[in-house]
Amino acid sequence: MVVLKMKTISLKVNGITKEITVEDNELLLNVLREKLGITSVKAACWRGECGLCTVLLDGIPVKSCMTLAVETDGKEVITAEGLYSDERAKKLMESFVKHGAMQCGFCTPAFVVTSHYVLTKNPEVDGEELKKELNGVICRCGTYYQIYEAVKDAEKYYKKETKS
Amino acid sequence: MSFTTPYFTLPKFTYFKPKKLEDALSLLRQYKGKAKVMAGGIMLVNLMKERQIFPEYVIDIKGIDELKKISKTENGIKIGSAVTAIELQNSLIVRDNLPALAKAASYMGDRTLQHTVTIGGNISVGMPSTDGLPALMSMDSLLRIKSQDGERTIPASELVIGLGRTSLKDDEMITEIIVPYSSGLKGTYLKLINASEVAIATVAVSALLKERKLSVVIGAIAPRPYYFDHKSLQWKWEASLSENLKNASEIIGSNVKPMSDAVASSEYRKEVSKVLAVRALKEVFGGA
Amino acid sequence: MSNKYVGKEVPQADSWLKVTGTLKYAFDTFFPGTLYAKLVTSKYPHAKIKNIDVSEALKVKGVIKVATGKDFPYRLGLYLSDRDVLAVDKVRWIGHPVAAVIADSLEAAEEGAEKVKVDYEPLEPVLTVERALEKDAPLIHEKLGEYRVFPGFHPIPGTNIANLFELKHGDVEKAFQEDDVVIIEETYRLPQISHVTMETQNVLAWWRFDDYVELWTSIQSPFATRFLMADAIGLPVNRIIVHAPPAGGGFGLKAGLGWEPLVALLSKLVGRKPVKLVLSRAEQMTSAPVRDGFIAKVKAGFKRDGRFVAYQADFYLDAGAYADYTINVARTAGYSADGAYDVPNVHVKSYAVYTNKIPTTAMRGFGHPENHWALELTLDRAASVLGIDPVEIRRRNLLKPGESVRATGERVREDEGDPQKVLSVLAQALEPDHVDRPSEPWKVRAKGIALLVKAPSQPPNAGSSAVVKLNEDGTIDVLTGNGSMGQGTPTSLAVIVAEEFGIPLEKVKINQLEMVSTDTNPYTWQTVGSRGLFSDGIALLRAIEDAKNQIKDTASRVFKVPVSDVEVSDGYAFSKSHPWIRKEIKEFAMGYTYPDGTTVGSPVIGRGSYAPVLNTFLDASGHGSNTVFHTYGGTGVELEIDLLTGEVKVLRAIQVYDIGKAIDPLLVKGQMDGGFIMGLGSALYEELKFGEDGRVINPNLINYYVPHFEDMTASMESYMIETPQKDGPLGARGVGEHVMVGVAPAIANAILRATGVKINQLPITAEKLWKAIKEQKPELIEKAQKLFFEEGIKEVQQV
Repeated sequence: MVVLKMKTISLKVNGITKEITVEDNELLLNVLREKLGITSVKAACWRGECGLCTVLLDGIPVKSCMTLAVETDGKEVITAEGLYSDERAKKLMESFVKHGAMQCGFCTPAFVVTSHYVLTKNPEVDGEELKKELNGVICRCGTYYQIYEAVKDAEKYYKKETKS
Repeated sequence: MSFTTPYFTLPKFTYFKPKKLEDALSLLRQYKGKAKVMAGGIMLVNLMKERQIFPEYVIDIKGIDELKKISKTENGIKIGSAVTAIELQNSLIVRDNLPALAKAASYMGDRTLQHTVTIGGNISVGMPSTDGLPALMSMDSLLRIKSQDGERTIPASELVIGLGRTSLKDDEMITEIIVPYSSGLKGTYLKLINASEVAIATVAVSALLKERKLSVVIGAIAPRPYYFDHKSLQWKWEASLSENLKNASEIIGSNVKPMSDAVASSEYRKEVSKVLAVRALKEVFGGA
Repeated sequence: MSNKYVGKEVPQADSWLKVTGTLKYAFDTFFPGTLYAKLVTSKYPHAKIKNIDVSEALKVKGVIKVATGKDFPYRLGLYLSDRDVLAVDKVRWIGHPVAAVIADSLEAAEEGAEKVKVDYEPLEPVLTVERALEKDAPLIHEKLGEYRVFPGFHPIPGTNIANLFELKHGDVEKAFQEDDVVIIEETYRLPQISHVTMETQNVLAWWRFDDYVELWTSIQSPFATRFLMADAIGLPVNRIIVHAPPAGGGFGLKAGLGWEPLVALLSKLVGRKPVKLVLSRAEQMTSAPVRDGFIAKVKAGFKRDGRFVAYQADFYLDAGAYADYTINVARTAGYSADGAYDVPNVHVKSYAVYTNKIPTTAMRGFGHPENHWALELTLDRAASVLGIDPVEIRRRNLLKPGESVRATGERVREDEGDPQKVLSVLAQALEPDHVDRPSEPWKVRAKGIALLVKAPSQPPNAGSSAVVKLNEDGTIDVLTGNGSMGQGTPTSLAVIVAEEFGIPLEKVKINQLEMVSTDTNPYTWQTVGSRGLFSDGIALLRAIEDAKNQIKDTASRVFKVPVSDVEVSDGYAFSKSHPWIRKEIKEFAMGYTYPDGTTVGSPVIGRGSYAPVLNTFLDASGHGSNTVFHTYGGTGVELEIDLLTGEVKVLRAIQVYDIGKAIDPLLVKGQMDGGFIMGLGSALYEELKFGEDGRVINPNLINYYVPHFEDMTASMESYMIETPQKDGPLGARGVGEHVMVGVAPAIANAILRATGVKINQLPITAEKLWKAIKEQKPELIEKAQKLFFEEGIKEVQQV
């Protein structure tokens, strides 16, 4: 018999630290969407295959539908709306807009989050490497060409930031 | 195996995140049969979502530092079981000395999942399409397995005993992978997939060359990988590479008995096994 | 006059909400107190329901009610009311919803669903089209004769044929008998595929205490959904309020009627509390509709000079358990079977056939990926037999605008586009005769093309309407009924408004980007078939003209000039004869007010509507006038085949469409590139696989592979030809669906041309191609193996 214990975790979400009460079997995805109302985190497969629920957990992209909320105690989550206040990420978003790197937009936040991570890590990412890095997010509208251009075009903002 | 996930939620369980290995092993013993070890957790979470397993306790080993180490000595390289696929690819020890493993790690799920997937979890799944095992087997790796009673060390080739089944007991876990080489390896890992990289492998081949030792492991075509070495391949070190490759591909072709399933037919897998084996061998000799 | 916005690259107007993830989809809609619904689905392909025991489910803490089919005795459907809300008396496929559990948490609903016990009495399942058509096959719909049928359709009661459409033109038998006619006969097949909209179908419904029903749902066509639901459950149309937030992908899945009646009725059943149903990916790919499976038996006659003289085709669409929408897919594949070609003798029979498998519905292309797979492959087969170039055989047979007549008897309009230009642009870009050396000696390079033409498939009265409201400060609010799902139409409509009034784009607000609500937005029939920009665009231009007339009327009184002397442009109303007499349009927005308070005119609100002119249903021979515009296009590919493994890598893709006018080339290019990717998935990877009992065995995104980032081709070129459509909005035609139609045939044609190997069935997986080469051209593999296993090694040793 499983004895359920509610746990209180401390989670910093987009800059604000929250105390949240969760059960052990709750997924980060559901906590973000339903308890915190962060609906930029989408879901389309619930099995770790589509990548639409990708968030940055302590700076690393993870699929929140495969992550237990209790695992994230004491960590920091950043989502697409949280990235708007990052000047480089905002330029990246601007590049997505300019290049038409979205159609229905349902996968767009996951691509923004993931490509922000990639450019932060390496603003001179090789083209083939970039495709590999973004291969964990699916866009059914097929906007890969436009996203590729958008990310490539945004490299310059991340380079500048690195040097200064 | 149903591979469906009609559920959005997980069944109820109690979660532990021990900081010490002995605490994890003690929990595993205490809840023997009712607990599951979680490292990356990809397979575990999916099986729970599919309601195929209902562990009452989940023991997260990501907080145990000693399982996350990669170290090199003269006798070999040791890799903690909770090292992630990304860490394997980024580790200079692995990249420089164990190229087959670095390459296999680059196929363990998509790039985002590779931040989560661990080498121990990957091989513990026991499914034919897991990428770690052929690479580890080609390098004659050993697995250190611990329980509260003590530890045992087995060759990687003895881990999988059937389709999705391993020789791990309920209260045991893999703690470390020991590769008995520390340098001078030529190795590679190749994979043919029925679509792109995240899809299921049709055939996976890992090859290793160290001086006059050669091995070729063929995975994904049967419940357990096939292991060939220079003896079973009747390799003639004095003969031309061309003659050897022709001979080896024929030996592989006549010794593998691939399964037919929704991914590929036996006939096709056999043909691709030969092609990938030769490609892999060309690569390890080409770089020699 | 140079355009300020039309023809410029304008990003979608909701882009910033999309990049920040703050655009609200139906999936994101939730109210405190909302209950969760979960489906219980059938484990049998065909079985009588003997008993449903819900007692254990009701004991689960949090479960409130369990509904079964008997609770909802309604029949649903767009063209044929063959659907139930939940299974009544019998189940028709594995995955058929039998019951729905409503609970106060998702967990409780899921646990409750596991505990519903259903007793079945298995019946013989019908799992193939071939079996379904046999005389002694069990009937899947015994009461087919009692269903409501839309005009122009012909189900055959007492059989498993949901519809038979026939098209006759000329005399194919006679043509086949002629002396110098070369005959090509083939059977082509396509598997069922899934739309895989990233946002799965989901509905939040609230049956209000005043007996109005409010729905927030992920759909394409709010008005069709509203009408069909009202009609099915017997409510006045305006008692149903459908809110359609932007959809995370539509692709046809979300046209017509979906889960709305079920969830609304569940809400009523639980005391009128809001209820939400979200399908998981597995449910989406087992319990909800997908694209039909397709078989085409084709006989085609060509003269020695390449003239296409006779085409006889029998199409069988595996409709699965419900054919509601698929009967029109079958009809459309049938009446447009002759594609872009002038074929004097055509005879097509197109059947939609029931089987005990997952039901089917509309999908991007709507019958055209199907019929062009048959037609475009047949043309290359003929070209190869006759020794004519694939480009040339098409050139000789293309429809001639203003001259040719389609098999339906419809004359090809003079202004409907330039198929010859499409072909020549495609050929020039691809250079099909110039093939580069492969990257390895055991590989081959190949180039192939396919052409296509498509018109929206819609009823003759498929109308649209639009409203334009001028605000106090000269900004403009625009309302149409078109759903927003990323296709770009709403942004293009905004561009048209900005251009026509000569005001900055930022001043135009197009409300459907956030929500289309049936109680606020004006009517449009459906957001399907690439009809949105055309139909809604015409309605919008009429609304703009109406609004301008109101401004002109007031302005003429203020300017004291005749109305005919007033023009509205650049954000001003002015006198044409005395251009210095002018005022900003905002001065007239609420009527013009003089300094003393006297006001002339009244608030400006323009309305416009559109319906096709003189369209008809097709008669018993498939003749009639049922289209409003056609768009021609073509796809070219360059690819490399590994003969050792059968792997295909597409290196270069070319898309060419005659779209009349590119109102927003950025968004048009997005459609062309994205459609190529979707077409590539269907060509190389996508297939729903069925177990022996008819269940879908790959309902997830690992075993059902859709294109990922790494599948993008190294080169992607899109060409827009602009031959204006006289009655199109600013000359434009639709293109959103066309863009995936030509991809698969172009790939198969490339393979045929380079290797002589015929592939008649998708997807072209590595193994399938390897086996086909082995069967048809074993010498190619042998030669490749020799090069690889022997000669290839020499190169290595030289390193």
